Amino acid sequence: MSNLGLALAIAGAAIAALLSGMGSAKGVGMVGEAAAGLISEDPSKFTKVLILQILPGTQGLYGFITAIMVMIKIQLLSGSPVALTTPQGLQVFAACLPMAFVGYFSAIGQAKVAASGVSVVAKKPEQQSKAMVLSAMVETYAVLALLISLLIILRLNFD
Amino acid sequence: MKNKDYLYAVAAIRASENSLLRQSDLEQLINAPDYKKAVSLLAEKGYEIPSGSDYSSMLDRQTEEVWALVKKSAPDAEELNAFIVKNDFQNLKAVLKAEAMSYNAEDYLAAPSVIDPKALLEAVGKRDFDSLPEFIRDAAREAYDTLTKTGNGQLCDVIIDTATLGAIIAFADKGSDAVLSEYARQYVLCADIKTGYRCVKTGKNAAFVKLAVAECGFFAKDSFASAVLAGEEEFMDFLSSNGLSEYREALEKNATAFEKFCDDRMLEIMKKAKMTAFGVSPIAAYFTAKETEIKCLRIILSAKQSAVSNEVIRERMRELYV
Repeated sequence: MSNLGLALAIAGAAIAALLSGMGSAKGVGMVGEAAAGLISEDPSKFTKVLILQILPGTQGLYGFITAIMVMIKIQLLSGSPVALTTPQGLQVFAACLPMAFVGYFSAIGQAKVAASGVSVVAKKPEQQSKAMVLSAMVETYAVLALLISLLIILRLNFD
Repeated sequence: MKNKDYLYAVAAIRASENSLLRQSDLEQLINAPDYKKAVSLLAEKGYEIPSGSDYSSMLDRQTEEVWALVKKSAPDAEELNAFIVKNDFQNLKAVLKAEAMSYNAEDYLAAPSVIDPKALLEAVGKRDFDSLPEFIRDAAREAYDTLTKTGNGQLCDVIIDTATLGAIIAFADKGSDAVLSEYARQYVLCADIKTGYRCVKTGKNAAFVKLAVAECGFFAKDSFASAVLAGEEEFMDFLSSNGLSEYREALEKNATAFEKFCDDRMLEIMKKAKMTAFGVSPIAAYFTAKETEIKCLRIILSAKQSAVSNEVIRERMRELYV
């Protein structure tokens, strides 16, 4: 049953990258839509809204980092992965869940704040930094989830 | 349609809000020494210069342009039609009367409208009311029958006016936007009070009052009609006892004050959209804001043409959105 352990670990890496990536893609798309609406009326604000659009993209990156860390941990990149038992595989899978779920939901939540921030930039461009701070607050939870996932993955011992 | 589908539209509208006139801009126009100077000041704010004294066509074009922007921003938002459906019923009146008196209605058609006025002209001309959209079909048929059978133009107008109010609420309720629904009910409430007061003054009977008043949710139609029939004092007391004392106060001043009060009240409702990041209400609020701005400009330019004092103009100015 060593294959099941490995499969679970890979599934964990996949789900971390998948959900975080999905959330970011959706979030960046939402803010991009709002940004395009503003640019259609005032192209000079492109740079200001571009920063807001990038913000919900970080969760995708965190999911990617989590997945890479799992692959390093189980030596998947070297081509000869560690033989994991089912409980060990489950441990890796569980370690990936914080990043997967928090990544997905925080990206969408952050996108809503950032899209509202586009309206702030539209009316009061000098207040852009405040819009960014509001949006960045959501990022806290994605960072915490990344930390938890990474700490668990790094502390797992397969000997 | 989900609110986040208006992300593009709301951002574009927010950018357009920066070009709305402010109180200081209106004050500058009011203080202009004459019509010519007021028009040139307006041109500096981005409005086109009207040809001669005909500022009305220029402002009408502005309204149409704003509506085109609103429709481009949210083409599927049927609830926004609540703001222009009154023009369809206005056109219906014009077409029916033109048909009855054999003159060309085209000069009297209002824009923007939900249905193409040409389709309305054709439907009435061919008596093909079934080809009209549902929201206007029954009213068109009933008003036409009334006009042709009784020749009573006032009754025909009342049928159309009541249908207008019903259609405004029906369109506003098509979305799930609370601000729009509240706006529509406020609009109908103001129309009902105006109608009720006119009926008090002209001594209309209960049947007429019930026909002319639309349901707005603020009071029961029957008790409203009873108050109208009981006389002016009872009607005013009815307003006070239904939590509408402010309307009473405005009505007691004069018709102009009441109109201003109603417009300000409706804009106040739309101002809630300022705090809304998504959804159709910021788009609707922009249209209302622009309509209010255009209404103020009409008052100012008309007053400047007639050399009305600045104090009188200020009294008639509406609250602005920004």
